[in-house]
Amino acid sequence: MRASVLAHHTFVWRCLRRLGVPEAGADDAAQQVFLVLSTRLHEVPTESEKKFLFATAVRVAANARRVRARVREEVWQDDPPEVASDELDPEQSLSVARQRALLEEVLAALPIEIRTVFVLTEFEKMSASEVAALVDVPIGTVASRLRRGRTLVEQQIRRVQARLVAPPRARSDRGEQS
Amino acid sequence: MTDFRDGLSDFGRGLFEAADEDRPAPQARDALLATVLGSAAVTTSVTAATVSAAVKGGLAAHASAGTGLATKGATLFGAKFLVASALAVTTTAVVVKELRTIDEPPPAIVSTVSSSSRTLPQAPSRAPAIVETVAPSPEELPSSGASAEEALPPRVEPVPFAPAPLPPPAPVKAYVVPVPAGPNDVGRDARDPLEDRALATKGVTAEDELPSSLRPAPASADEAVPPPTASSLGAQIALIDAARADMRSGDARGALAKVRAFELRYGTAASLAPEAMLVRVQAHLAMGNRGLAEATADALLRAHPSSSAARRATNLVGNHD
Repeated sequence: MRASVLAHHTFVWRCLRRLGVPEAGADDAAQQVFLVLSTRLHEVPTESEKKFLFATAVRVAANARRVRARVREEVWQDDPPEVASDELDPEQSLSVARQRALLEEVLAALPIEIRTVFVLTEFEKMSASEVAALVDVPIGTVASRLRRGRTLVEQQIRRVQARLVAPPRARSDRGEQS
Repeated sequence: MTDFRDGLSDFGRGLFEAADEDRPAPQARDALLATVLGSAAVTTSVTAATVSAAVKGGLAAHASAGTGLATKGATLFGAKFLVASALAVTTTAVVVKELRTIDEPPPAIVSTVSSSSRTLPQAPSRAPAIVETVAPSPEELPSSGASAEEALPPRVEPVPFAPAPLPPPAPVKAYVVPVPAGPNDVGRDARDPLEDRALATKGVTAEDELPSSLRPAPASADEAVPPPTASSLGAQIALIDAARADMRSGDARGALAKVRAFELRYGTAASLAPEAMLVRVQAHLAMGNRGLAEATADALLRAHPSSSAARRATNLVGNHD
């Protein structure tokens, strides 16, 4: 178990973050993932631990996103301001926390099966074959999901950027019209 | 697949670079190791303590002769029962009482139990740290308003691994005999009256110490619902004690983490769930989360109205005004 934690904790934690778990809840979520592994340790071959952990992390993250949307759990009360601000000028230096919040906004637009492939490829730098083995889909499926994910991410980034550069007056006008 | 970021604007690349720097704190990994390995170690130590507990009780009653197979002494935490275990060759039934603080056992009995313990089936090298199914998540406090569905942890069935085959079961027979507590209750921890009561209601036998696949089938449908295993109860106690220790050392967050681990693993219907909720109340009070403390105390009172933990929690919240 110790070896599993040492080998995969950072990977699990980062995947949880990119799958929508806020920073303040990531430690708890990672703990959940490894506790689940501890209950199944006798069933999971060592070579499959990463696959098991990632599948568990996807479920934990989905649960966390759902819970976070409705309740404020005590460990997340001290969340950093991860809500993207419309008042932000992209020409200014964005705080890292806000950049991550904006990235979460971008990634949240992706369907989960595309998001997982995108996260593993673009953030964890895994190859298509590694991703295919981890999410248990053919390599061709990984490639198509990645293409789709990149397209969506580009669109979302442009959308967020356009929103941020739009002057407040214009945003206000749009709001009044709608 | 590596040039995607190059095609992005500076703004887009900034988002990705911010994510690249997003990593867990080293302390988080250490805390996780302490929690996960602590629980695994607890299970192991409880198993080991079982044999020693059988010896520590020191009450041996000889049963009738016959050929029997060895078994471990079973553990009882309430000191309200004795458990007889069949021992090798002589088929001696050793009636034992569990003692939470284990000292060196009498030499004569040590050898008997040690030799018998060697005949037990060996656990697989990657034995489970916890044998229970993952229980409802503690992430949702009763006051949170989250639905029961949300409170459930993720159902994890990603990879249908087949467990390794285990050796065939050895026939084991154990007996549970109630006896009053006596002067031999050396080493009892006087801080755990609730645990005593909760555990005294459970008959824990030597069979409970075996892997589930090796246990004899229940004789009737009524027996089909197994009581918590000795290892489960021991692990629960150890987690609660660890959370209390954190509270005593002023680490309320650590205590909360252990309570969450407890509730995640054993659920809110566990034998010691009231004690876990009590520690949660104490931790919230220590952290200044009075609202959460009150909500937890209310939930505890509703769920376990007659428990001493509920009364203590209510008093704590009331006295903290």
